Formats: sequence, structure tokens, C-alpha cells
Amino acid sequence: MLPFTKEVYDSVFAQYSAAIWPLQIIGWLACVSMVACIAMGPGRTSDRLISSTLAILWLWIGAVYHLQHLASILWISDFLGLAFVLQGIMLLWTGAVRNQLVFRYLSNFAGIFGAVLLTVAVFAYPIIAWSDGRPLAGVQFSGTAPTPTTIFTCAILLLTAVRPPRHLLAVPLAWAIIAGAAAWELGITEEAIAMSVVVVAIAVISFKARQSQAPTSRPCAE
Amino acid sequence: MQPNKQDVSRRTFLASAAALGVTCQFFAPNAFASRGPILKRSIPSTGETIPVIGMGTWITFNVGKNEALRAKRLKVLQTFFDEGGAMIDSSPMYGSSEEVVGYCLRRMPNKPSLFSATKVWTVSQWLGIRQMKKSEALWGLDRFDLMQIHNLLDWQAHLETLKEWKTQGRVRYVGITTSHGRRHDDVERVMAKEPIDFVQLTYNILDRAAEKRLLPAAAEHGRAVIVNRPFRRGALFDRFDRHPLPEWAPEIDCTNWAQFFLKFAISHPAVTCAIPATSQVAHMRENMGAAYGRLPDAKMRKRMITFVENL
Ligand SMILES: NC(=O)c1ccc[n+]([C@@H]2O[C@H](COP(=O)([O-])OP(=O)(O)OC[C@H]3O[C@@H](n4cnc5c(N)ncnc54)[C@H](OP(=O)(O)O)[C@@H]3O)[C@@H](O)[C@H]2O)c1
Repeated sequence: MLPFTKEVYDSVFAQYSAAIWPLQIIGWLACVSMVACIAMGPGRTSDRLISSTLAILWLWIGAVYHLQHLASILWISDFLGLAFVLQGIMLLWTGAVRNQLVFRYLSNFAGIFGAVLLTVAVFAYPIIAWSDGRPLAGVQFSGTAPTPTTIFTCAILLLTAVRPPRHLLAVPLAWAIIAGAAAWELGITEEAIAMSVVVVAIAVISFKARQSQAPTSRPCAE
Repeated sequence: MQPNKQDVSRRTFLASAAALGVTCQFFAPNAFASRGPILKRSIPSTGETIPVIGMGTWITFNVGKNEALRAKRLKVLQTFFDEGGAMIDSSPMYGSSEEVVGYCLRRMPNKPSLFSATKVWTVSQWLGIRQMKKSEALWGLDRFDLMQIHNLLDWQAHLETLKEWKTQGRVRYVGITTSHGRRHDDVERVMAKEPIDFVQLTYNILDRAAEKRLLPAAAEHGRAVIVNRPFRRGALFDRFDRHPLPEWAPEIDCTNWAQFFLKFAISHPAVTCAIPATSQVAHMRENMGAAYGRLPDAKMRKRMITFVENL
């Protein structure tokens, strides 16, 4: 049971967007760069760079969107903000410090699913919102808005050569469930569907993990 | 309602007249000659009277920093006071509602006849005290008329603070709340054992579980009763609004469904007031209309239930 209406939710997002403009373009470009890095193929530095960039985006959304904006109308955002910050720290630790995330496009089910989700998060999300008549500053961009960033993160985690550690899935899963239920209650059907797809993506990542006996560290071929 | 000398003497007088249960307002902000005086009920622990319709703020006043929406809520609140309302109920759980209420109160042209009611909703005595002080600041008040323990969360800890605050005059009344028929056993136990003034619970024409034990217990122990969710969060309108009112609705001075539902809730003898929430001036006028005119008696209440259950 949400304590606000869609009108109020939209207005809080619009205020956040106005306050950070044009940082959402930089966040979006960071996402595009991560996609480009994966498309360009393997590279030790680029894996760490992708993890670090992704971590910064989660830290930003937790500290700024949740704790400074959404928390004004939703008490649970204090906890969501901390969860997003924790996800950022875990991405930094797992990916940048321990180098346990190896990003690779493989043309299997997980790879294709990941590529589709990346396209949705980076391109379809802002284009749909923009064509809906929203000003550019009110559009949800991956990198600064929590929902497309969660979709983007799950897409990236589908594009890993070896299984990503499961602790990286907990916060995206929690957010997908919370945001999906909230979107459903507010009548934002497309967002509710997107969040259901994220839950499926997380299940696929876990399934991939169970199937693969590969160690969580970088493979020998690297 | 911060008491001054005039209020106290008026209150003392009204207390002696409280045996009537429902009393009249002497100094209504506007003249309501055509519909008579606003209906009031007395708070059993003191005899002070309050209007039978108050205002809730869940969802409706949680509009964040949006200036346009805040301006609309200011009009809703102004209408509430213009129509003779007094009790505003909020909670730290309701996002920005307390902040928005405070924002509106600071912009009221005339100092309204406010009866401020909020809640403490956290664990531990220390956090409770911090939260209550923050609420005072958000509303712009030195003290609340009523502080309630929201859904009985850590009630022992907060009750200890509130007993002390009441003795010191930092709060005038103390209460507990529940909703959707939850924790009725605990509410009944607290009502029986602890020196609380108010209990807040869910009661409407379809959700009548409180009639079994809580309302009789409140009457027995002399606790004032605030009814939340009198419209079942608006679901009563979704279900019945498309039907016409019964032709006998004018017998209880109801001109719309809102008044029909509210008059049902406030006509229970143990109920002190109901706190419907609205974001619309027109709805506020309708709701406040329930605080005027005739109320249904026991026979009419049964007729109201039968009518809606057969729709
Ligand atoms: N545990 C607790 O302490 C607890 C639990 C629940 C509630 N409460 C308190 O009780 C208050 C009331 O409960 P509630 O807000 O949940 O539900 P409610 O008052 O039963 O219903 C509110 C809904 O009714 C609609 N409404 C109001 N007047 C109307 C009218 N004249 N015609 C048509 N629709 C109308 C409102 O929409 P519009 O905005 O469009 O008018 C709103 O959607 C709360 O705001 C809160 O302060 C406390």
C-alpha cells in the first residue's frame, strides 16, 4: 500500500531530474560506454572499469535519488537508499577490487536475453518516455533512474563469462519486487512488466550459475 | 486546540453538558443557520468536546515539495476549518504529510480551531522522543493535543514517555491506534489497563468488527474513539457510488453517499469522531456536511446496513 499517488510520484521524479540536469545525460553516456566496452571484447581493464562505473551509478541513485528525494514521500526509501549504496559497494568490491566479474557477450540464451535487456534499458526506456511527451529532463535514463539502471545491471550480469556472485543479485531482486508491486498499484503497467522481466533475468542468472561449475574467479584463458 | 482561559471555561461548561453526548458549537467560524450547529462529541476523560468529523492525511497530504499540490491542499484545509472542522490526524509514517500540514497551517489567514493529532511510529523510547519532537517542528507546534502510538508499535516504551509528557503538559491526550481489524486483543488489553484517552480503529458500514468488542470496551473504560478508514480507503464509493441513495436518506440529512457512510460511522454511541481523508475541496464540503443535521438511531442504522448489503 503506497502512501502517495502517481501524480506525486511523477512530481518527485521530475524534481529529482530538474535538480541533477544534465547529469542524467552523463549517466546515460556511461551506460552506453559500458555497452561499447563489452561489444569491443575481452579486456582486464575494461572489466574493472565496467564494475566501477556500475558501482558509481548505484551509489549515486542510493545517495541522491532515494535518500534525498524519494525519502521525502516514502519512509522505506531510507532503507532502499542504503541498499543501493550497499550494492554499489559490493560491485566495487567484487568487480573492481577482486576482479570477479568478467563481461562477455556469448550467443547463448543468457547472452541474447542480456542484449535485449540492454537495448530496452539504454534505448527503449528513454525513447518511449520521450515520445510520451515528457520533457527530456523528466525522462528516466539508465544511470540515474533506479528502474532502467536495475534492468541495465541485470542485463550486464547476464553478459558474464562466469557466474556473478549471488550477493550481487539480492538488491536488484528486492528492488524489482518492490518497484514492480508499486508500479502495478500506481497503474504503470509497462514498468510492472519490466520489473517482472528483471525477476526472470535474475532467475536466468542464478540458473546459469547453477549450470556452470566454473569458478567465480577469472578463467585461466584470461 | 491549544487551550486558553476562555477555552477552558467553555470546556468546563460543555463538560457539564456532555451527558447529552452530542453538543453544539457556540462559536462556529461561519454561520450554519440553515443546517443547525455542528455536531460535537465529548472526550470522556475530560468532557472537552470536538466536532464529529475530523480529517485524515494518509496519501492525500503526502505531496512532497510540489508547490501546486501544496496550494491545493491548503484550500482543502481551509475548507475544513471554514466548515467547522478541528481534528487533523497524521503520522510520521505518511511521508511528507506532517510537513505539508505544517506548511498549510503556517499559511492559514486566521488561526484555526486546530485539534492536532499525530502518532509516534518507531521502536525504542529514545527514537520515539526524537520523532515526536520532529513532528512538533514539522507542524510548527509547541505541543500536540493528541499523541497516539501508531499500530501499538513498541507501545510500552512510548507510553512511558507519553505519561510523563502528559503530566508535564507537553501533550494533552494520549492514544493508541490500529486498523483493518488488526491486534484487537492487544488494543482491548491496553484500553483496559492503561490510562489512555483515545483509541483509533477502523470502522465503516462494511467493516464492523469493532462493534463486537472494541467499541463496547471503549465505552466501558471511557476512551474516546476515532474512526479511521470510514470510506474503506475510498472503496465504498467504488462499490456504491453508481447506485442512488435510498429515498429515506433525507430523514438523516444525507444528500450524498459520503454523508451516508460518515453518519453511519459517527452515529455509533461509542464513537467520538471519524477522520475521512480527501484531496479535494468538493469532497471536503461533502464530508463536513455529515457533521450537521440528524444522525441515524439504532433502528435506522440497521436499515442502512440492510440497504447497502442488498445493493
Ligand atoms: N493505523 C492507523 O493509525 C491508521 C490506519 C488507517 C488510516 N488512518 C487515518 O485515517 C484516515 C482515513 O483513512 P484513509 O485515508 O485510509 O481512508 P478513507 O478516509 O476511508 O478514504 C479516503 C479515500 O476516500 C476518498 N474520498 C474522500 N471523501 C470523498 C467523497 N466525499 N467522495 C468521494 N470520495 C471521497 C478520497 O479520495 P479523494 O482524495 O479523491 O477525495 C480517498 O481516496 C487516514 O488518512 C489516516 O489519517 C490511521
